[in-house]
Amino acid sequence: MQQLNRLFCFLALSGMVACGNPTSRKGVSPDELDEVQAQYQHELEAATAKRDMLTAAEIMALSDCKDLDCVQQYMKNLSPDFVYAKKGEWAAQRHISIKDTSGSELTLPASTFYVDVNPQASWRAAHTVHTREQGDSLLNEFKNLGFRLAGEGYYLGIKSKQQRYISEQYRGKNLYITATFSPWGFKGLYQNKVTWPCYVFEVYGN
Amino acid sequence: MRKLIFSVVARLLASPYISGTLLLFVIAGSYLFIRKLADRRTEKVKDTEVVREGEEYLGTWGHKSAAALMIFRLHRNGSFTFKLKEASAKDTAISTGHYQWLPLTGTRSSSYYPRIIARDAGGDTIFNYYVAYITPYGSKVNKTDRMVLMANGRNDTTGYTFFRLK
Repeated sequence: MQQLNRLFCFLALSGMVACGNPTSRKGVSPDELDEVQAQYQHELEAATAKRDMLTAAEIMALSDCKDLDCVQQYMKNLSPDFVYAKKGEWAAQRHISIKDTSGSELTLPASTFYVDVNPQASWRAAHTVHTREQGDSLLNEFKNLGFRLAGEGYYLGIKSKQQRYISEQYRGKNLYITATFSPWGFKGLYQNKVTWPCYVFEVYGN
Repeated sequence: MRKLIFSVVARLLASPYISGTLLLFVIAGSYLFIRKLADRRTEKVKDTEVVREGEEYLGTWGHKSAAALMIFRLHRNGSFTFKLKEASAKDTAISTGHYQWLPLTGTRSSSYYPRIIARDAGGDTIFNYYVAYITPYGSKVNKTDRMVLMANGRNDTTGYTFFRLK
């Protein structure tokens, strides 16, 4: 027993002595700063998002997906612009500041892409943006793809009125655009009371 | 009574487990004590800061841009040195003073950061920044230590990245 004790003490002691001080040794000299900063900048840029929202073409590609695996694979390739939050939920890495209806300032992900695959939900995949400007620019992209207003009404069981757009180039696809305060019931970013208008873009096949 | 206490202690120490544990504590304690002495001695001789866990902010930090080279040093004794070499100027401006490291107490919110405030001899504030990030002690992820300073405490705003200098 005593020998075991001694051995253990020896091991513990030699382990402690072997522990150096990595932090102090990691310092660089002022001349190396240029190189270190350039390297850091390079790493930072590789992990920094370059845009706020999906393009119209990407939303069209996502609408071809028949299951969650396909969506996950597609969104994975859009990293780091979009980050995975949890099952069926992606958010733009970039944040924007917006003013809500009461005038207080909120900092939010610039956009989200949510897919609900729960059995009780109807299949719904929506790209939600949080400012009017973003919504207009995304609508313009869709218009460039040939989408024209086809109708307006209460589709898909949502309380707000939705506009339906169709395109000659994408037969069998419907684009729904909704300005709403309840883009998703109790999901992710929209779990609590939503106090800012959201612009929801959805594309579905017939 | 005294005899009883002695006999209890003797009985406890007779156990190899308890005496072994005590021995380990003594070894660990003396190791830390000796290490501390050695660190302070090294600091004195080499005029530097030997940084251990929980005091990662100490030491010399530098940032270089096209306009200037900035270096500041947080000494262990609380003094502060700030050196600024502007690219357009020939001289290096040096200001000295004392700093305070204000860590977070009681709050775990990411909306608040610790901060560094430095004042010169006259009491004027010469340095006042939030510390948004600092490389943890012994990090193997970051090859060089970084400290990100921010003028405000808000998330997702631009900070100045400083690197640890020798």
